[in-house]
Amino acid sequence: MKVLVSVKRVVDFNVKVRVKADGSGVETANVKMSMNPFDEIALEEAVRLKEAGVATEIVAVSCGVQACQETLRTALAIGADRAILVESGEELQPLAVAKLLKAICQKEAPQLVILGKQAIDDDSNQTGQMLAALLGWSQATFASKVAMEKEKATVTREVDGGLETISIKLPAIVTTDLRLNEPRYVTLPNIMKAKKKPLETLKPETLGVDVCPRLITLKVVEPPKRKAGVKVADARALVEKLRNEAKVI
Amino acid sequence: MQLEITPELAEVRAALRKFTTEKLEPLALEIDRTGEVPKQVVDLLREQGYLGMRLPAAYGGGGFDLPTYCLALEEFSRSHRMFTLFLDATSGLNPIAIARFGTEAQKKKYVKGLANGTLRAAFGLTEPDAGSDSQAMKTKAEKKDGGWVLNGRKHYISGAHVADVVMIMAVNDAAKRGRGGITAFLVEKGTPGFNVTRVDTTIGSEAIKLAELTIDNCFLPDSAVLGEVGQGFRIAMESLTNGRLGVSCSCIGTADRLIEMSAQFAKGRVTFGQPLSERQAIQWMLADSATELAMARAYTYETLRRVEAGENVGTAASMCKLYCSEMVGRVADRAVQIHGGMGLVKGYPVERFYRDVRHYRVGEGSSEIQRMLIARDLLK
Repeated sequence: MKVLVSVKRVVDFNVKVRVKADGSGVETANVKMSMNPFDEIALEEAVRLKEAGVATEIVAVSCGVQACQETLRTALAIGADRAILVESGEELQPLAVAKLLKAICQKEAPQLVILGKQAIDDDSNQTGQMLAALLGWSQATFASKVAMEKEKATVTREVDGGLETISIKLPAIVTTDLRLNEPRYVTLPNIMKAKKKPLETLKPETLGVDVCPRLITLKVVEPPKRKAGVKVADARALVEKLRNEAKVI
Repeated sequence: MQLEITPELAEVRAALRKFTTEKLEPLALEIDRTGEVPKQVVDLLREQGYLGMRLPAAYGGGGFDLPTYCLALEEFSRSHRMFTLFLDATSGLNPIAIARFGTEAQKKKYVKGLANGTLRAAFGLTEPDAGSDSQAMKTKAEKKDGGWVLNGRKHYISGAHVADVVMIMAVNDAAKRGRGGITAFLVEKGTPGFNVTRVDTTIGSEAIKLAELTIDNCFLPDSAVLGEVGQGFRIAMESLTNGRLGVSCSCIGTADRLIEMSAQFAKGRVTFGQPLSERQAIQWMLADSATELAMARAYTYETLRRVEAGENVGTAASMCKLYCSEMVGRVADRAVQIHGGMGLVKGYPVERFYRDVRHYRVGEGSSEIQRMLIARDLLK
């Protein structure tokens, strides 16, 4: 069974994000970039499926600038067999990425596509769902457990009220939640082996996909600074404020 | 922008940094708490392919080059010196010497075990009356039928108390000494007449130990000779050149971490209504440390690139070792000063780094020996 995993290059989770001076977005120049942590979980799940003899090939896909090659190299070092970069300098929004992934899926015909439930930069949480809709495939989002069977998969999902277990038909889209697994560390020997694995570069045009942004960002601003609090004289005054001003009790 | 030895190593550094920060650092704090090395350290390093990383792939090693090994030393040094000693014991002076000068049988016997972490090695050169002047060593090797009999004493040998195989240098021809009269022997733990007679802790981390070895009528077969008879001094000196670059990178890693910790602390600690980082006295310390580190890194990386290009870097390696070890001493001193009381107390890594870096100005050729070598080359 072929498994496709999408990996996004994002600002590292340790970096203190700064807004660009002109308010057009977030500063990414000279900032440490890494693989989206949810995508690491997605890749780890695929590698475990391969180690368990369920998956036969893992293809990692990334959409974005040329530097996404680094993210794909990491994916190859973690255990993907080959990688595809869809190179574009455009701002790629979830719909555009979903369309690109759809084109790749039609080309590669995977039985399972695993994506992070969201990327930690824009927190959109849309690409997996859009991809499932575009392909007309079944989807299981926010997975915390995946069990593969022949023609179907049983997926435990993290939902607001607790856990929900569903059965989906293959081919299918799965998006990962935080507790699905704990990703492994890249080892140096595997980094070296990854250098020999194939990395193919495609363009959106060759896939016949229009990636023009459909949404326009008007302005990006820092969150407002927290204002100083007030001191209350006694418990009575506190209860009074909580009841009448904050209206929380 | 991070300066790299080669652009390809940026990815290796990222992997090393993540592993060191998330996996090794909690263990470093445990080493500090208990003074012992948790058992899982070896397993973790083996699983990740760090043990024996520089040994040839044909014998189960990682097959990595000197720059990659030095980068691992640098990143591990950001956490705890102890981790670098595991690299040294499986990819350092002795293991590399066996891989380079050993017979097929010796390689089969030791290199595989060193690469998979079941064996550890140590390098026995220093004696009570022969340190920097190692040619003055008194340990003797006498030729007997079918082998050699060794007598003498070695001390301050890093990790020799847990080593399975120790490279022992001994004089086989007192008239020749360093010019062909010293031979390297591979001595296994438990060989009759070969005993660990003392284990010393040092000014550094309590977990780091040096051992004294007493060699009393210890018989070794001819197959225990490493390289040719009389080649020992050359083997030792060649091993030391690479070792100096390893020490340099260890110093760079620790300095890097200390500067990072100092800057972070200075931003957070408020005195007289202002963060320390706003005070020029602190800024100047940080600026000096960062500048010295940048210079040390640039020249050390350049020297590593020259080694990989096949150049002879003897003097440059001495310059790196001299400058880096003294640089990290100054950086550690400033780091303690910036941290104030917090730089003095146990349980926070700054004081341990401060103690551990003192070793670097003494071990693997003291600062004075490096200066002597540099001057000798200059004045020849």
